[in-house]
Amino acid sequence: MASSTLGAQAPTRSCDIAVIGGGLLGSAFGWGLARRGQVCQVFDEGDTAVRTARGNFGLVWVQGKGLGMGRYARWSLQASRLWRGFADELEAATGLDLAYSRGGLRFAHSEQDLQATVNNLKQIQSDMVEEAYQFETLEHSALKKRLPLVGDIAGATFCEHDGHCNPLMLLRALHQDMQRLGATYRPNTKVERIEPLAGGGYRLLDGQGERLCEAEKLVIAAGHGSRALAEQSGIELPIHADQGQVIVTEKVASAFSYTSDIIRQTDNGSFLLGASSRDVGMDTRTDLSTLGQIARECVQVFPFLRQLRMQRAWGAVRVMTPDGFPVYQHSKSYPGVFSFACHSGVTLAACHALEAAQWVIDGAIPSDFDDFHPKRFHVQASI
Amino acid sequence: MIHKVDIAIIGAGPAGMSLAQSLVSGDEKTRPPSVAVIDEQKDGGGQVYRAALRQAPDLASVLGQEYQSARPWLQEASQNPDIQFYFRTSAWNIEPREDGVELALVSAGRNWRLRAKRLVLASGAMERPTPFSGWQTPGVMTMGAAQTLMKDAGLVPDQPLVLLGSGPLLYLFAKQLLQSGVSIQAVLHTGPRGLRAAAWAAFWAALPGNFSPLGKGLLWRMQLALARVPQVFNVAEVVAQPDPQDTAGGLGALRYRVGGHWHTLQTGLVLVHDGVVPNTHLAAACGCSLTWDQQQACWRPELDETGRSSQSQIWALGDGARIMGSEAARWQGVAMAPALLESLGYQPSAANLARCQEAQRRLAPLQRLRRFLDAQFPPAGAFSEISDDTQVCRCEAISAGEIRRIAGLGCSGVNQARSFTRVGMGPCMGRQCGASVAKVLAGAQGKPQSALGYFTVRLPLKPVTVGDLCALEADAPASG
Amino acid sequence: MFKRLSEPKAPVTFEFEGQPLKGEAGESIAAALLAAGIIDLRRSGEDDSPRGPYCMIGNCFECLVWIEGQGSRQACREPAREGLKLRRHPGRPDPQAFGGGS
Repeated sequence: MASSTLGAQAPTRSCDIAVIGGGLLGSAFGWGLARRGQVCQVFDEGDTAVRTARGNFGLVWVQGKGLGMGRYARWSLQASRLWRGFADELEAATGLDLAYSRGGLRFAHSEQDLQATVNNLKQIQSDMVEEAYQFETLEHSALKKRLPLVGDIAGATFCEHDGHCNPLMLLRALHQDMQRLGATYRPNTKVERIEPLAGGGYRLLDGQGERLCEAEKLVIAAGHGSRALAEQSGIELPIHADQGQVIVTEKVASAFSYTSDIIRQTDNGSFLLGASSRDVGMDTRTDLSTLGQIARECVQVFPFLRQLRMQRAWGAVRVMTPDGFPVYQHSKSYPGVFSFACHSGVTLAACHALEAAQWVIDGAIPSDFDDFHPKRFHVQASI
Repeated sequence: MIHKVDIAIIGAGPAGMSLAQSLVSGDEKTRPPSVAVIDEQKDGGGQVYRAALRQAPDLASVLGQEYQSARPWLQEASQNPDIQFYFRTSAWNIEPREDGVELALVSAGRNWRLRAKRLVLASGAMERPTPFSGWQTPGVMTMGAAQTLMKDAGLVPDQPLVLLGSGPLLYLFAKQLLQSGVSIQAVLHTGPRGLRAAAWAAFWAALPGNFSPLGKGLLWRMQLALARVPQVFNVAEVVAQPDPQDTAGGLGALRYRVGGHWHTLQTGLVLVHDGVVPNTHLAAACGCSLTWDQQQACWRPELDETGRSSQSQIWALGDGARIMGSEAARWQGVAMAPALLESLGYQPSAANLARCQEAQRRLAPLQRLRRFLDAQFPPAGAFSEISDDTQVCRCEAISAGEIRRIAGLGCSGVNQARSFTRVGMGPCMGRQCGASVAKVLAGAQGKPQSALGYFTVRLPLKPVTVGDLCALEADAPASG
Repeated sequence: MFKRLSEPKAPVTFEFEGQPLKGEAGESIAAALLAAGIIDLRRSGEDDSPRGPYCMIGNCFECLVWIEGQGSRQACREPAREGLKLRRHPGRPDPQAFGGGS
């Protein structure tokens, strides 16, 4: 059990690396850095902050990702390959069950839909060149054989690299274990200002100008809060909020052991129905017309869902970049300040923790990841 | 189908009924606003006057004079043609909009929507959750639940039972049980035998204008003593144990501690009560700010002096706003009407204003009475020092020990606790466990309970199926 | 556990786990079951422990039952009706048994 390190009591002190953001992105870095022996502090907001991590669907997803950017497709595939070992390590250290399992379907309601998906996946295969992953196309009858409860839909594509996990347990495991490894978690502490220090390194301050800590390097992973902090560090961060809504049903006996992009059954027995996209700023509310659409779409796939009680519904805001691909940057003017933004916090957690954390220690993002630099948006990326 | 009214009131208890009645009974010349009253029950009265409109006379007399006396005015309000009543109806979504609110309702399986310029939450109280080890065992029920069974279905316990806890309801219900011929095995008081030292001053202050309720309370206490029911005071801890022989897993015994000594009562039925708190589920769901009430140790909606919440189109009154009791709730309905009418551009009638003044006068002694009750019946320690093995969240079976474990991770409040442990994620959506989780976290982190916050509330506010969602019109307007 | 102070005026017959029971039309299913001596209406989906009515006003969801053709319902909010077929709620019902009904 980690010792209690509450933000309010934590004194100002220095550390190797400060991570701003305690969600899935920030925690993956915090854990990855702590396990490499770095002294780090992870800053988080309060109990009711707008959080993307708590609204997560829980997919470790590869299928269809990276259409138009082979680098992202390969990165997602790498995440999927790392995930089992990543989960094993966290589970062994914390005793928690992350409920990671593999096999993902993308349902197609119509023949055209199925054909379009297949074409997209083939395009991605050719972009990925020799590293491409395989997928299976299942017509209705083949699908019905695997999933007897499926309704009258055209079919699905299946990919063995897709999977799902319990994202809430993932977040808790990262928090629990990074503290065991010596990281300091500082909740209720919103970083508002970054100041460079004369002898190198940075000072973090809150809204009242109170000094929070001094660090050699910074990781900005504060989701929607990242933009303002990145700007202070000479990093242009083109992100916007993208709302997804999710319906959770009552718990039922296990009926769907794979996962899919719109329906998954959690290890607790509930079905999650969702994955809508609506551009509404920072609105976390739900709206009935979107929920109605989600419900109708999912009931077509599994008619039995109709009878289930809706347990809960929520709106969560994803961090979206203009093209949907990650934006990773190392500031030119503020060396040692890194910013990471993406909407696939669960999938990429394994990559962030096991690979990207080392980049921060090394002080540079490998040139192989130049595609993730926002210069692709033809904006002036650094000052 | 979207129906429109000026004012929608959720809850047909004393607060909602009296408000509805006051809103439509202005002077004869002006057209009254359109008022809709929504309630889950089949008729008006709320929990306190549940079934008063259809009660058999013999049972009504057991339930007492105050219960009976509500009948005429409830009847009058129920028959008012200017009020639209929607009984057996639940609001499962409330969407605040710039010009009012939109409610998603379900009545007997039929989904419909209602738009109102003002929404009044008159959703009443709920019993303060009383977590203790084994409280999820069948055979442990709230006293309010047993009273509901009595009022609604004419059911009384047919086996010896134990009453546990504190508060005026304990004495009232004991009296009602004795009068119905039920045998009470023991009364376990979590409080002291007499008045608390802190309550004396409030008692003397409350006395003028409250002879009748205070006298009644004294009488109930005497009746309990005269019935020679064994009574134990200052019970500090309790544990419910299932009967190992019972295939239904029902209650077998209740263990309790007084001072340093444990005792055991063999019993199959324990009715527990620790006062009531505002049911803030709807207010929280609407995004109304809540404020911590130190005196009553609970959250309540933050309201201005007229009853308006932080969401200007949403108002609240009665025990759902602050525990004041049923009589106060009724007067609050009268008192709120003029300001609510004015907010919609209606000129309150002279009669309305006069009644409002009368109501304000009647509320003053009731406030003094409440200060005494708050001082005499604070939340019981027996349910506050929650043992590690107590299931604070009954839905997800999460123990207090589990909450204490995550408290050490720097958990910043109940919402983070929810995502780390699933506490409050079950079907009751945290109604039963929110306060307990905050209490346990607060204890573990050395903070005041109010610093740990309350659960954000998501739809549905009442159960609906995925099929109900499918039936929502595809062209329904998006949120505004 | 509980007894009626007077006999039902409008009796209805329904089933719980195949056992025919009598109740009063319109009273809650929870009341009718308690009057019939049935207290454990469900099993917890988490620890499989038996659960029964607790708050009786729709807040606690401890009194969930399975109504054939309808699914999980709160026994304290659902009126007793002639011919209802009820089952003890298993905690996690099996979707195979649902059918695609409305």
